[in-house]
Amino acid sequence: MIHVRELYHSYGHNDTYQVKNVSFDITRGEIFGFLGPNGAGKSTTQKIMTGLLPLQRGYVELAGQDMGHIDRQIFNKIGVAFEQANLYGKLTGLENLQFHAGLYGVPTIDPMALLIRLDLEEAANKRVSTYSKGMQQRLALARSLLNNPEILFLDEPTSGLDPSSARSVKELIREKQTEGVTIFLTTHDMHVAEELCNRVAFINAGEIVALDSPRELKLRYGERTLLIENRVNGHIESLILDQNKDDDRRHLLALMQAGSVETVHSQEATLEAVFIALTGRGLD
Amino acid sequence: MLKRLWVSLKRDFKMNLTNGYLLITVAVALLYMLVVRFAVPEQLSTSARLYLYDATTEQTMANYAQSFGEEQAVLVYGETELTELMAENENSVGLILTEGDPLPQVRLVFQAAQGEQIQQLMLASLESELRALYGVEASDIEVSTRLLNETYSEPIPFNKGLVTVLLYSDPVMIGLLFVAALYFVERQQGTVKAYLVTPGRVWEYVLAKAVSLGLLALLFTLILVPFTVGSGVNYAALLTLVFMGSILSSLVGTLLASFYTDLGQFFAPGVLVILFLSLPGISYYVPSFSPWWLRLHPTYSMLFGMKEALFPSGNPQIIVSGVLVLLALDIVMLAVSSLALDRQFVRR
Repeated sequence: MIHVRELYHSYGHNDTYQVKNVSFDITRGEIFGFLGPNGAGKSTTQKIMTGLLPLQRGYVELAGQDMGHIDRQIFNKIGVAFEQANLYGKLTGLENLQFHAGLYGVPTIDPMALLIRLDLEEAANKRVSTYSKGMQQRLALARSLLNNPEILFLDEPTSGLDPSSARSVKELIREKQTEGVTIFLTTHDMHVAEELCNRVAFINAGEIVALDSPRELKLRYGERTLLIENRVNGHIESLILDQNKDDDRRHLLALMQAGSVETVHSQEATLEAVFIALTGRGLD
Repeated sequence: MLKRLWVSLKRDFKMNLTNGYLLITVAVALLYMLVVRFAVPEQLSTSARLYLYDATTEQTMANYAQSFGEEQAVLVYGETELTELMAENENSVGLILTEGDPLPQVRLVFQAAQGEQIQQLMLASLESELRALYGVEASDIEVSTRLLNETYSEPIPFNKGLVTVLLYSDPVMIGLLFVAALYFVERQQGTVKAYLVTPGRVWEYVLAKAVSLGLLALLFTLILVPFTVGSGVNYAALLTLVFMGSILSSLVGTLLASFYTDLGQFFAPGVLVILFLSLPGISYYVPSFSPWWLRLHPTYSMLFGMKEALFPSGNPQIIVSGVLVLLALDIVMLAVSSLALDRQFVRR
């Protein structure tokens, strides 16, 4: 559904590249996370993919469309929700959606139905300038879904949302995935990526440094240890056992046979720990 | 495409409403209407310089002219000279005396733009002197008017003449500033970015804004003109010219806005461009000043087309040329401003 090959971009049109040799493929119905700290090249890559920046070098294909030679009909198949909501503050939420719905050449979802789905029905006829940041974020997400897109670009979709709204948005994203929508999710929130993404790419200084499923990355870069909570004489004792060591394996077996183990946690790495291990810097 | 244009137009009209543009337009139109009707006189001045040509043997008029002083009366030595001097000074009147039997023939020459009021005043002020000098009665004086400009069919009262300039300078030219303000607000909100990831084209986006401001210009015209100039106006031609002129101004504003990041930077060059576009106004007030380079000015034919539509003189070709020039300029400017906005403003 999405093919990116040897993508380069230089804002100064010189040898200093903000995006360097970026390549990946995304299959239909996949949620692909693009993780990296601010300034790593996430937004630049997404802008090139969505036609907001000209393609300088490389190849980008979305749903069969070469984005180097854009036919604007491709935007009937794409939905984009930016991190900054980009809404008309002086129009109501409903008017914002009605305007955008009218721009598509394909059947669109009823704007009111989308507002209801994102818990914005009560604010439908209020000016967007009176919305909270979270409400604006949800309205921008609703706008990106108007045309039933085949490909959805989401930039920090849960940023600024309260836990309940964030959960609702994540459910909606999963729902879209089950409908076969391909989702390109740009974020620096590792929890969102771990929860939603089938695969993630880590981008640092314009280059992809790792690309795999969150599970594989965590296993590859984590340690094979277990955190055990064991009850001894009425007290809880914590210990870490390495599955690669014979003594530790025997110790675990003995504890299990004694029936004193209360909890067992695997000690695989977090995505953030993997990113730090790969780049020497954090995601924030 | 038409559906996208329509929804964009609806959005921009709502924005004009919420931004207060509609309210400003209606308020200014009403204010101008009241000023034109009740504050500006029909005739700015009733005193005019008198050019005297005395072709009689007695030359009695020489003394008469001296009694007025040079500021008010000038003695000339031929009808040609009198005509030339009158052409240079629109606020002047000519008096020609020729031999007659038994009384000299008296002929008064007025400018085409001088109304009935000034003619009556001049006749009344000269009558007693002419009776004393020659025994000539007012009824014996021959009155003729000299056509200064072929487009004049009848004098245009000063206050009504002002309507042309108000239409030209306000709803038409102000679109340049309005459209720039709209772009800078939208750029700040990032809504242009959201538009660019839809099938909508940049030229549709540009045209919708220009048309929405063009509709405001039409509203302004329909408030001001019926209550000032009234009947006799070629409304179809006038509305066409105002609408197309407003679109041209908005497109020029779009092009200019594409080079700047905010209204503060835009303001000074914007005002300079408005001044440049307003240059043909000089010819409107000083008809004898219309050099070839001013006639080539992009808005010259628009201004005089609007004048012809407001005060028809039987020269519809002025309107036709105004519409054709505007149509060509609108098409060129739509292409240029859309390209500039796409490359330099939106993608910056």
